[in-house]
This record gives sequence, structure tokens and C-alpha cells, in this order.
Amino acid sequence: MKRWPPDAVYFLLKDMRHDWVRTLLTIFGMAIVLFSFFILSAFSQSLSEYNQNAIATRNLIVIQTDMIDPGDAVLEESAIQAAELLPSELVSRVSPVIFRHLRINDQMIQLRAARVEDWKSVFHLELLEGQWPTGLGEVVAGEGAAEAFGWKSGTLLTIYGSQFRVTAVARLPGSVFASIWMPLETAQKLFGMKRGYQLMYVQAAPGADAEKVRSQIQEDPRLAGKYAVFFEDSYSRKNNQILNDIRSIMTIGSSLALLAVTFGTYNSTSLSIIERGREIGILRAVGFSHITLEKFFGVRATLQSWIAFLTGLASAIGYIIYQRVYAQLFIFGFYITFKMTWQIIIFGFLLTSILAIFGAWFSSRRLLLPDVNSLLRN
Amino acid sequence: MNSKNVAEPIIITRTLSRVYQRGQEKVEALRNVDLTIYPATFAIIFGPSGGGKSTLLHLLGGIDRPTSGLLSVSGIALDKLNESELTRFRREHIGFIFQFYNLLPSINALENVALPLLAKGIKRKEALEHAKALLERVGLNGRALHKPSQLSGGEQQRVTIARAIAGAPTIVLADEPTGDLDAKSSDEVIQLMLDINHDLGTTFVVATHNERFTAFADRLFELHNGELSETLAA
Repeated sequence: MKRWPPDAVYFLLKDMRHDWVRTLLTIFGMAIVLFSFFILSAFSQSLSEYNQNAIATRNLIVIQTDMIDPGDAVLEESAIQAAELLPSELVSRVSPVIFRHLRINDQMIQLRAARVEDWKSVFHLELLEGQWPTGLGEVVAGEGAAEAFGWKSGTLLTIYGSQFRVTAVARLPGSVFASIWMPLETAQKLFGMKRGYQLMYVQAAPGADAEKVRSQIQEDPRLAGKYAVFFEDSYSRKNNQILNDIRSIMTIGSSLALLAVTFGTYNSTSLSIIERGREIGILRAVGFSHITLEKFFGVRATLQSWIAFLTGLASAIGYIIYQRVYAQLFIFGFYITFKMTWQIIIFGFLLTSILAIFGAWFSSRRLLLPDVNSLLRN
Repeated sequence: MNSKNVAEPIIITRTLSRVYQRGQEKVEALRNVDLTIYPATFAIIFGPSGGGKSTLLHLLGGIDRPTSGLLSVSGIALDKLNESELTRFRREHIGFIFQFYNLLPSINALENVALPLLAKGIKRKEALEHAKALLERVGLNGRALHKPSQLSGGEQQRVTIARAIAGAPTIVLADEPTGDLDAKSSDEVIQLMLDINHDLGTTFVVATHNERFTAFADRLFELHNGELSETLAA
């Protein structure tokens, strides 16, 4: 066993097989911890990608004050008029939006309706496939909805009792909402105008001081006190804050999960050494140094952690595939797709190995020190 | 079974003492032990349990340290060695036989015998071939692949003897090697050790409380309450 490897690995495998119940339980325990690490990291990774495609806009969003769900908000005509009456050197476009949370084809979806001519210029929708709607019975699927439910051009959807055809899949910069985009006139016919619009986008004119535009709208007597005016990016940030908070928790959770590998290895190595006191004494008596035995337990712990790593990784990938196919996850309309990256795998592998070795070393360093005589008296 | 007094002594102790602290109490396990043993001797330390036999063997084997006195084995002053030097000393010079066999349960008889060779850095294949020959020598060639739990007490002790001589030590220290065996197995084990001593010239120091075996000693020592005295061998 002085030769590393392969003799040591041969005896390690024999030792692990002999103590197979403990070995399996240790590996199983670490695999659960590593599964948590992978899932939390993949979750965190998917959340981190939500704002990656954000672009700087000159849009202001006007919405009822203190409204949590935009679907419950109401935007009065007078507010729209106030914005539209601003001079063209300050405002280039005003675009009211109908916003609903609906169950479409058994999925909870955000529906946004705005003038089709504003989709590109104001909302920065990017066509990923298909064509923009031209008729009344046509809608566009957001990228998140397309990913989650497999919707594409030609898919038929039942919305509010009427049938619609998806003509395109589009990306909304900054987020992967599971959304449906509908021409404004279509939505007005479908829902009626009893609840009116829910919010409006006001695009500041090129060269205009956007902050000045915001103040002017905010201070207009028709809006003051009843409506809040946000810059689009800060509104998105506010909306995304919950995801960022969840992401922070996920990151802390995944770090703690990896730390648990150290404690797990420390405990299992300690137990193995304590239970094998006499055997260790024999090995020391026949001429194995405590450094050789430290290496033995270090490699043993590393081998176990690698098996646990592969088990945890395979389980996590299995779960992610299952989640994508059978159990799509949404948080406030955000479609959450767990993203397993090579960075997560390599980072996890390195840290697992290092922490396992550290846990085993810390334990064996302390417990292998007693003299041979005391070990043999065990 | 003849002492070769013409050679340099292989074991020398002078005023060797070992005191243990047991709570508040000091226990003198060995008191001023003077011992000189020459190579190829079959020496027996006889005495009651708790008399200090195991302590003396542990000191001679470098798995315990004396409280005071001089201790030299194979020309090496053990009291001056650090832990890793003691490990090397055991690897090069000492073979152990314990009362309760002390075989590793997870590996078979063959691999148990090969352990001292592996500790020396010999390749596994080579070590196992050598171990196989040793198992044949102790009459266990058909039991090589059995785990310790599948062997009888006598068989386990034979494996321990094979392991003790695997590293070609100059000295084998046997602590109550028959203490857990029936009379027939005990006789076989003693005879095996005598054969090895005769054939290989390995020095044996055997601790026992069984008076029957004192007849086989080249030199016989009695150890009572930590005090050693030599008596005439039969």
C-alpha cells in the first residue's frame, strides 16, 4: 500500500466493499448534498441569465401607484391623454398596454396586448421565428412560453374562449416571461374595454432629458398621486429583485451544500478511524507510517466523494430533464429552466475533491496520531 | 535452538523502566530490566498476566517508549528514535505475533501475510507470490483466499506467524501466541515457531503464562511485578 496507486486503490476498494453498508450510506449522504448543490447552482444560473439580454431603453412605464400585480391595475384615458399631449421633442411614442394573467391551454400565462407597430420600436421584441400577426385571430408566443410548452408558429391556442394561432416566437429583452403577445385591437375585442388598459409605455424622444420627461408626467395633475412613473430598466430591476433575492439564497444554499461535504467526510473518516483503531495499530506495527495511512484515508474519502459526485450529478441531470419535460416551473410568470453548465460541473468537482480531502485530512491527522501501543489496546 | 553467544547481542536493555500514569496513580509496569539476548535465540518470558510481559515486548518492538533506561535492538538505540524512525525500525527488523491474531478482517489470509512486504514498497504481485510461499510453509496453502472470519483460531495464528516472518525480520516478538488456542493448536503453533527459529535463524522472544512451553526455550526469563529474572532453561 506504499505504492500509490494502484495497490492502494485495490485495498481501498476491498475495504469499502467489506464495510459496504457504511460506504453506501456515506456515498448516498454526500450524493444528496451534491444533488442539492447542482440543483441550486443550476437554479441560480438560470436566474442569473434573466437580465443578460437587457438593453438600455428610453422607455418610461406608467402604472397605478402601489399596485403589486399589473393585471389588477387600471389606466384611465385621461392619463394617456396627458402623456400624448406632451410635446414631440419630449415624447416620441405613447403605447398603452392591456395586461392579463390567463390560463391558456392549461398553463398560467401573461398576456400583453399593445399596438403591433410598437412591438419592435417601443418594446424591442425580437422575432425568433415566424411572422408578426396580420389578422385578428393571431398572436405571438414569448420565448419562455415557447420553451416551456413547445409552442411554435402554427400552434393553436384557446384564449378566453376563442381560438388563436401562433404566428411567431419572439424574445423580450431582459426576461424570459412565459407570455403571449396580442395586437391591441384584438385584445380590445376579446376582453372589451370595461377594465381599460393596465399600464402604458412612454418613449422619451431622442435627445430629450428622460428624467425631465418623467418629472413632467409624474407632476401632471391628472396623474399626480394616482400613478407612478418608472424608468423601464429600474422597473424591470424592481420586478427582477425577487429573482435576485431567490438567487442569493440559492447561492448561499449551494455553498453550504458543498461545505457539508467536508463535514460528511470528516465524520465518516473519523468514524472509520475510531472503529478501526486496532486495525490501524496492526498496520502501524507491521511498518506502515501514519503518513501512509493518512494518504489511505484521504484517497478513500476522495474516491467516495467522486462516486457521490457522479451520482449527484446524474441525479441532478435526470431531475432537470424531468423538470423540462413534465414539471415546468414558473415564479411570477418567469419560466425557470435549470441550467447545468460546465463551469458548475468543474467548479463542483474541484471543490468536492478539495473539501473531501480536507475533511479526511483534518480527521485523520488528529486521530492517527496516538502511539501504536494505544491503538493496539483498542 | 542454540544461542549464538559468539555474535553481538541482538537485544540489550539496561535498567529499563516503564511507568504508566493511571489517573492519579503511577503504575510501574517494568522495573530496571536488564536483558541481553543473542541472535537466533528462542527466548521465553514467563509470568502471570499483568506482570509486564506485553509491556516489555512492546518496548522491544518499538511500539511503546521506555520511561527510563537503555534499550538497544539490532544495534539501534530505540529510545533515541522519533516516530517515523521507529516505523522504519519495525518494518526492517520486527515481526509481531499477537494473542488475538490481529488480522485485518477485510482482506484474505494471503493479503494479510503480504502486508509487511507492501509496507516495504514491494509490488503487490510480487508480495502476494512471496506470501503464498509463506502460507505453504505454515501449512495453509489451501486457505490462502479465505478471510480471517472463515479460519479457525489455530489457522488464524498460523497466518499471523506467516505475516510476522514475511518481512524477513531479525526478531519475532510473540505475545501470548497460544493464549486463545486449544492444546493441540497451541502445540502446533509453538512447533511452527521453533521450526522457523531453527530453519531461518530468526530470534524469537515469546511471552507466555503457559508453563508447558518453558521447556522449549533456549533461555527462560520470569517476569513478576515488572521485575525480570533469568531461570535455567530445561
